[in-house]
Amino acid sequence: MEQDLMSKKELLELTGISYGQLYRWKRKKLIPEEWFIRKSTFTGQETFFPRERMLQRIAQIQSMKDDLSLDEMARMFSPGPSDISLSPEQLLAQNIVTKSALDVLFEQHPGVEILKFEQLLSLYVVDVALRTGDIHLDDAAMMFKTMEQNVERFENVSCRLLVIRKLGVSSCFLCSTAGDLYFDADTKIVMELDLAKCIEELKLRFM
Amino acid sequence: MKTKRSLGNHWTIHGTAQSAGGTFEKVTVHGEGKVTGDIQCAHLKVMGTFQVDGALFANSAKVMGTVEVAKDWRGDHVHVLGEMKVRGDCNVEKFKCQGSFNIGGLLNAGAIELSLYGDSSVLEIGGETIRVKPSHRWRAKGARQLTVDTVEGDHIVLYDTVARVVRGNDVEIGSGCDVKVVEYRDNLRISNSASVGVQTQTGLMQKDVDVRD
Repeated sequence: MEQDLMSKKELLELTGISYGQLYRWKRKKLIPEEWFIRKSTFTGQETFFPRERMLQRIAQIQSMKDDLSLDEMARMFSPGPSDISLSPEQLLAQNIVTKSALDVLFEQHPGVEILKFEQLLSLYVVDVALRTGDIHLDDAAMMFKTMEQNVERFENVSCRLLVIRKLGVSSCFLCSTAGDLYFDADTKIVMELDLAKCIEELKLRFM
Repeated sequence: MKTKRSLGNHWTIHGTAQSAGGTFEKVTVHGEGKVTGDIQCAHLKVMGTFQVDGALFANSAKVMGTVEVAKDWRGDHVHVLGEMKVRGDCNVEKFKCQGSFNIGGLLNAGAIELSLYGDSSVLEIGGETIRVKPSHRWRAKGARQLTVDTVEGDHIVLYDTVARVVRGNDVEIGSGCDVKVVEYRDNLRISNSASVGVQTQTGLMQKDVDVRD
């Protein structure tokens, strides 16, 4: 994946934070270690960041830091599962997922009352995918199954979900974020979702 | 992090001992200790030699002897009176050194206070307040030095430091320093006996800032 990077200097100028704050947030694990990308420039080794994610994260921290302690925020940003469990009705009422995503859930688990975090996450990802309009309901069901069965294998490891399609046949899989993937010319990547990002968004919804 | 809950047992070493690691409440080393894995403890006190082949987490640590850690050091505060060697990063809230240290990665701490009693080196320093006090010159060998690539923080006071880049809001470069580049936001003071290559003020007007990339 091509990444748009920004230098540390540029980040500080744009956001107005100080070096002290940046290092404190790094120490408290509010900013993941992998985002500190070291690159050689002609003035020596400098640190760079993935632009979009970093700016978004800094904005989130700045808006929340008056209400939450750094440790609470760190828990929220961590990719690990949280102890949230909700019923499907609550999800619909709080506008976290749409009705069509819930239908996918009920098809697999008729009459389910309380959702565990893995199921919640799977449902949320399916909902995000459905909202883009790029996938069919059949694909959504397949995604949900794949996610639900395998997502716990990636505990604390960042992973992504891909949906590919070749000659009208869809398939989906989970893989770790590191490493590139290449397909033959007929295969189209219909959708690619970063699960760490989804988990973060999902946790934010409960704040 | 600051829990009162006991983490586990005490481990006191007199003589020589070796462990695979684990969680302890209090680790005291009078003799020679070696840990082949990761170790966690609430209090660490080293008067002898302590070698950790993995990572170390210590809420509070006082090093009067020698400590060598192969991976990262995490914790709340560290006071070094002896010698500390960390091959990874060191992440603590308060770092005070009245001895010498050698850190292969980043020293990241809220408050850093260094009095140089021996030559020290670290790849990078980052934090809120960073103070390096002048070294003690009464020994015939001359001044002790801190060698570092990059220093970044809000308030920085440096003496007897050799650095490539120093960046901060308030920066004071004292005697005995040799710094190639200083970038500051608010204030900069440079001692007459310090050598500074380039100094730039950032964050004021864009036209003053040279755009490098």
